[in-house]
Amino acid sequence: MTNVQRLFLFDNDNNEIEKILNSLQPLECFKFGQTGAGNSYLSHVFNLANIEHKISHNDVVIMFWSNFNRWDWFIDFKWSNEGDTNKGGKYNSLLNSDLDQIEHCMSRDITHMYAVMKYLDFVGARHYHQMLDFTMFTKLKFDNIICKSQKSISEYIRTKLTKIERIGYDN
Amino acid sequence: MNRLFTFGCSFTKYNWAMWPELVNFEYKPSEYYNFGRCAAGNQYIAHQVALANQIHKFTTDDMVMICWTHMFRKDWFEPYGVGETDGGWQCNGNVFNPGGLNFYIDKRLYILEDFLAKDLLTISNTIKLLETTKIPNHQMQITSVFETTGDGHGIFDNDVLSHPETKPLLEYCQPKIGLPYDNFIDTHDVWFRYFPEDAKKHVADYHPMPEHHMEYLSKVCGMSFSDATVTAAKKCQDYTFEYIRKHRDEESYKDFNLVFQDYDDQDMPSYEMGLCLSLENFRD
Repeated sequence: MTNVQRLFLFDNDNNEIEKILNSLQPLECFKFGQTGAGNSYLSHVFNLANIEHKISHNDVVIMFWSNFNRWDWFIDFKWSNEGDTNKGGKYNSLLNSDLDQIEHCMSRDITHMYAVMKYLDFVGARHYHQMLDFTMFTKLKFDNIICKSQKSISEYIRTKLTKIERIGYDN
Repeated sequence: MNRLFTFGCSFTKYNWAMWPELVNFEYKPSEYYNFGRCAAGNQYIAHQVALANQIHKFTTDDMVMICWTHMFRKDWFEPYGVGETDGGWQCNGNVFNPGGLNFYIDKRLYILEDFLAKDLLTISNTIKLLETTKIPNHQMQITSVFETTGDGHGIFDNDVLSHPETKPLLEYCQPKIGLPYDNFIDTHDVWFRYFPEDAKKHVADYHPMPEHHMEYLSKVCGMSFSDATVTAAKKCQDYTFEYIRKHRDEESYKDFNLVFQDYDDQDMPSYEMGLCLSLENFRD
């Protein structure tokens, strides 16, 4: 990949950023995200970044989406990214296990992911997406009649997911 | 207008004809989809917009109209249901309402700024999706979504609204969303005209009646309505009040909502009741 002017990186956990930078050598690089971030937070910082920098067709955007089982909390004027819910956390531990099911978190997250991906598609930016655990989608079953409606969005998102380390070599 | 897609809470789909019915009747789109749902929160609404876009592929010939609701709502997707509920999206209205899945939510998670940040994300994502793809759309709100928590549970202070994490998104969203209903519509006034005795007790359904919706759509969305629509809306409104008057038992049902909610099969309202739902039933 050549002529990368601006690179926008949205990361949940310090993924192979150095390798990507060495590969793409952008003129400018903007990094967002923090360890433990969930997909709500990543979408949020994407929106803030887009408002400030107006991401366009000249830009490259790389999103390291997190797993679905994360909650982000905006409390006392700062984001609390507690990571996977099964690892506890001050606010995560208050979630009710009867409600906090992976299907709910998936439904919440795919709405955000869909909006980001569609936006980048439309503005023509080169964009690449990876999930922390790619098998999350394949593990979910959409056989349930209720879940079938989610399937169309999920399939769209699944087509966008890739292995980020290939960027710069495949293109 | 090729196709009309409408989204929202009970202000969008309720026991009588709401604003989508007026738009559909007036503009006669080739296809009409109303995704409104009682007690829906903004997360559910945004999800339905994304889903509809993916399934129906919105085009620039379509019209998408969204009426955002109170932010103090939590929607949950439960594929197999919880307790006695059926599977699917669970919409319980304001989190302070008793019952439903609100029972399961730890009250320590009722964090004002967290609700604001998440609805800002949800709403800005949806608006961005439509604006970027140049889909004709109208954004509305039942109450001032980003300024009040809804249902009288307090208001945000300036520290929350001017925070660097919220302010840019507020500035992006707010100009794109029309004035809230409650800015200039008193939903009780029509009710009291039909039921003057209720004015003394100050009880009324706070959902807008067809003539309220017409006023709102005119002022906020710049829509104008033909005589045929005005007449059908008036007839529908008269019929709805007549239905309520006929079935209302003020002794046992102080809550007028029960007139509509207390029927045997939730999915199959009686023919008589079902007439309230669509202006088409009142076309001359």
